[in-house]
Amino acid sequence: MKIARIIKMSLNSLKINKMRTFLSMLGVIVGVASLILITSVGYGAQYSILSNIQSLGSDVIIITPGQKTNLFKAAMSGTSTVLKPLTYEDVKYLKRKLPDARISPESRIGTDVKYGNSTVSTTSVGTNADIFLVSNYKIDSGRAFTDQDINGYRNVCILGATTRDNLFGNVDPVGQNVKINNIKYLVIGALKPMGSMGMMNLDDIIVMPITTLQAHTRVKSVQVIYAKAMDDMPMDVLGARIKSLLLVRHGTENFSINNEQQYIDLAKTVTDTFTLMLTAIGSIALIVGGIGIMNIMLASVAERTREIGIRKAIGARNIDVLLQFLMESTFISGSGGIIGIIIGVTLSLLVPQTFIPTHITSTSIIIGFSIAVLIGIFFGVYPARKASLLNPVEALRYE
Amino acid sequence: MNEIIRTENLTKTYRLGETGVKALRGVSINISKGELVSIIGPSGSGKSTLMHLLGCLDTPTSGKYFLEGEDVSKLNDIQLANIRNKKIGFVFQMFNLLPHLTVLDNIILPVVYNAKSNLREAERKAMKLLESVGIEKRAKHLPAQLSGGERQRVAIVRALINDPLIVFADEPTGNLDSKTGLEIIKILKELNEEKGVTEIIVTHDPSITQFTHKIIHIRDGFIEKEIENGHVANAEEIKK
Repeated sequence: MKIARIIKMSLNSLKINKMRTFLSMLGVIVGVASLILITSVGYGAQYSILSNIQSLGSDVIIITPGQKTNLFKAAMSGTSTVLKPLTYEDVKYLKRKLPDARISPESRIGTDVKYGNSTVSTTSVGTNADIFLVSNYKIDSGRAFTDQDINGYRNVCILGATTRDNLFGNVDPVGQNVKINNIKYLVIGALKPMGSMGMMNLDDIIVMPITTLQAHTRVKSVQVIYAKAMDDMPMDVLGARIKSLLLVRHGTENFSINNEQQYIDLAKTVTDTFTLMLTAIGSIALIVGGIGIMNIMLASVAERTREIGIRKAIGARNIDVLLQFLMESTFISGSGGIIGIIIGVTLSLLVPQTFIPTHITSTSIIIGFSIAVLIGIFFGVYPARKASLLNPVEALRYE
Repeated sequence: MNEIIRTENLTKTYRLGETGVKALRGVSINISKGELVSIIGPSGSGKSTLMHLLGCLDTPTSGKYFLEGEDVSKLNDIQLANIRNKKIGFVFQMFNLLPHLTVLDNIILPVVYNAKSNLREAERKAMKLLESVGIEKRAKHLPAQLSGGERQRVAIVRALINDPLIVFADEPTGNLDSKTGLEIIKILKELNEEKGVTEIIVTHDPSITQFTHKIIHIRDGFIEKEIENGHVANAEEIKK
């Protein structure tokens, strides 16, 4: 039997009863749409957490605003919205009190950078000279920041590898000027590529002194402080000293001290929770959808008994009939999957990013579609098999 | 003439709850190539059961059935489907066309289930056959747009599309008025006379038997009598 004909015949049968076909798709549409929506929220949360940590060494302490009990909430909502923020004054205070430690602030904000006629959207990272000691930022060409750059509010910047490639191509950027909000910045260096973490491209940044960033943008706080001991002081001792120093300054414990591993564990917990929710909600909706398809297909087999008899009388083998009905159920669920994906993606894009960050991945789209198709096959096999095993003589007699 | 159908003591018992119903109680027949045979009997006589067995739609409870010398009484579903597809054509009382397919698509449906054939070629052949029964203009119509006589012509063309060894016609005039019924008989008769198609017509209408070479009377699952028709009326004698 010709496969193109089988498909044509199946589509033909579905076209005859459009309303019924649509209704049987509905369960799969809802299932796949919710699956896509939930994964995009899950990935969005993970993305938001990961964007607050860089790829640091395991000996780096991360200080964030907000109490430890609210770490999850803080990570979900973005640390900049927490009421009592960390400040650059905190950083200067810690540096004064802990001369043997390297302490570096970080604040990020989305930025458009202009060079000549080209403009790219990237993220401005405000920090100090210690960042090159606590993070894996490595100078590729040019130079790192000096204390003079930081204390002097200088309009200087260092480009991440992606930003450099996007703006300058093969041209050496060092010594050139770029513009952010019509303010000129001198490019003093470029970073070595760092790759990506999760879905975040670590190289898509432009680094500048925290003082300059705070002077020129609405970012006045410090979103995160990194600290690393330079002598052999153990990490937990450094952490305890930072905690007592900040307690004195802030009066209450309105900050949290963690290390990278704790963040990664948290991100994993969040992702696992979402995966579980996704599996539960998505699979319930999809099973309901699958049962709907099976129901419709069984009704269809009963209604078309005579047609099956005719097809068998003129030489259709059991497998031909089976394939025809299986194709129909798979087509219903596959189309339902595609519609569900469109709805799910649209809803994810419509959710205000400040309310719940969402992130759509091709993986969730592919998985959503594959599950839809599998549901059609799984719940279509029983009706299709029933159709294929009908006795031709009895089927022909059916009124 | 070469024999194409030979049965030995065919029986068929249907199970209905606890009891078995013996629809056929031992039928032995021979049919040669090019023969036009009628099977006649009252309803419930077993003639339809016999046609289903001969048409490979069903398998016998016991006995042997040789089609072109091959024992088909023990074949599996796939083998039977292949035989129905390539060697047998059916014309039914209820026409049995698929309502949502056009006339042309209905006709080439047996070709769709034949992996080796060419659909384009089949469509050309279908058009030629439609022309020979005078309804080539109906090719793109749906069965519901056709009269009963036209539908039965479509069914006959569908039965012929794979060049079958035998055409079975089960009460082919049963749903038609007598004039249209005669036209259908005339077409079947011409196919037999001009193209040498072997045909078996199942009927309860004695007037049809006068056009056939052999008349098999069935009653209560047995062959009551088998008559060689000495005076076969030819197609020309069928009243217009």
